Amino acid sequence: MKYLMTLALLMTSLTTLGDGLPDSPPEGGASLLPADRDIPKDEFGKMVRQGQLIFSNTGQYARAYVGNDLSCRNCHLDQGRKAGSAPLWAAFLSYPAYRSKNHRVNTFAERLQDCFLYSMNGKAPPLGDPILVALESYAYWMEKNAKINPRLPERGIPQIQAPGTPPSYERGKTVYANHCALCHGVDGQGRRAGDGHVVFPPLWGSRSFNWGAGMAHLNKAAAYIKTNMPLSLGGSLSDQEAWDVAYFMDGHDRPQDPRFTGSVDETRALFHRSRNSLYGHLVDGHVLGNDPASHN
Amino acid sequence: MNRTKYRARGKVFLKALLFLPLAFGAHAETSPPHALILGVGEGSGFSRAACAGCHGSEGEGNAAGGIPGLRGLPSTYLEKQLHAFASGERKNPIMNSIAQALTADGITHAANYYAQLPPRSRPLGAGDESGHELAVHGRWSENVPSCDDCHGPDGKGVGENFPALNGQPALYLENQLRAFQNGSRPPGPLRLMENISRKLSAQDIRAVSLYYSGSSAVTPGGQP
Repeated sequence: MKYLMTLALLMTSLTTLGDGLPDSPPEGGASLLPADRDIPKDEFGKMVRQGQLIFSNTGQYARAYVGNDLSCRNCHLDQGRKAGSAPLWAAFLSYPAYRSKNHRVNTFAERLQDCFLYSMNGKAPPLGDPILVALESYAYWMEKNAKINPRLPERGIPQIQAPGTPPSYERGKTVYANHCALCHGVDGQGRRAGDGHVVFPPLWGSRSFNWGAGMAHLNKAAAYIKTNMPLSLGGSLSDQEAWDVAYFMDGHDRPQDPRFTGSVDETRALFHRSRNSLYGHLVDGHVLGNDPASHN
Repeated sequence: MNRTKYRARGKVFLKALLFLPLAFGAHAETSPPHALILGVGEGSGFSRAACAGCHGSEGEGNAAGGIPGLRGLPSTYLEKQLHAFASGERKNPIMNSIAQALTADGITHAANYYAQLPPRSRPLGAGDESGHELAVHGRWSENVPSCDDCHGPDGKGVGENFPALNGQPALYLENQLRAFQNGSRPPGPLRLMENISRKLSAQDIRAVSLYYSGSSAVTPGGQP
């Protein structure tokens, strides 16, 4: 049951998760990923299962390193399996790789550290920490046992065309109300089950990802939304709607960038000098990144 | 107008009586005496006893009859369903006539009454692998999310629009998935359930319904 990616895909897949994007959306005939029952019943299998638990309930199983209500699986759908939602198995194959975000070659474990620092608005577990070992084991197991279709660009998040007209907060607000609020709530704060378990993640505010996360960039958010949202109806929004609603989502405040220097202007100049980041911009009457609530 | 309502209410009452032996026969040992109160109701056509005739004295449903439990379901969800029954958008001969006999107030009373009863959950479908797979992982190759993705861990329900599946009779769940497929039930918000149900085979529906029912009548391997 062991299938390997073709050399060609290996050569082309050495771009970073979310940073370098394949050029067309995935179509039918997705790769086959192993099922939970295939996890071996040995010491390695235990680590794989632990990684899966962390991936699904990150706040519970990696509590010390998580500062919001999100879990890995909230964005990396189907427990990190789904093509087009930056699947974990493809990310595993993509490192070590150079990342423009920190101007150096990162290992996979270092890339995972950044997920905790930005997307989880927490702290990076030290290299060698059992949490990173478990997540890496889960990613490796999934990739090793996958039957991967080499013709399909399933890794990362498929790129989206530039918007026809500049994205609009007001139009995005309408798209949000019609397509997103059902699950993520009118106030963007997500929804929980009766036992407190977060089912639909908060999209902005103090319990969401911080300003340093990939999802806080319009191009990445728009591409992710276009491909994957609403859940089960991926591809149903127009490109323009995806850009508009990404602008609306990222036009709200969220936890401060951990690289914050003490000045929004300076932090913007150093880390957000991109038209895809609204950090430091005036949106809907607020300078983003400047909200006291974002400094927690 | 009023006379029609009274006549309809009478009809409802008679139908409810028909089902009483079924409900009490199955649940006699757990029925508190207050459930035996037969009276026309807490308001505007709502009679707890009449509902209890089919849905059980504690709103627990009836597995053999494929009648859903109502305990702890969100009041706005229950209200929406009763209005859909009343308008005929959601088709079920018995519930259509019952809902038509209720006033808007009666619908609200009924919904509030069942919503405030604490839900009961069950351990789910051990041994049914294909049902478990759809419920927990979905089938993303066809853009089918897991049921738990929206209905919450163990299908215990999330908010007003994603009712609990946990512990509902397999026959009821099966009927609803078919109703979403053929349009005899409104498609739900964003037409999510119409869209998803149409990607499910009869076997998928059977397996996942058995899983959430917590029924033990499941053969290993998930075959119906």
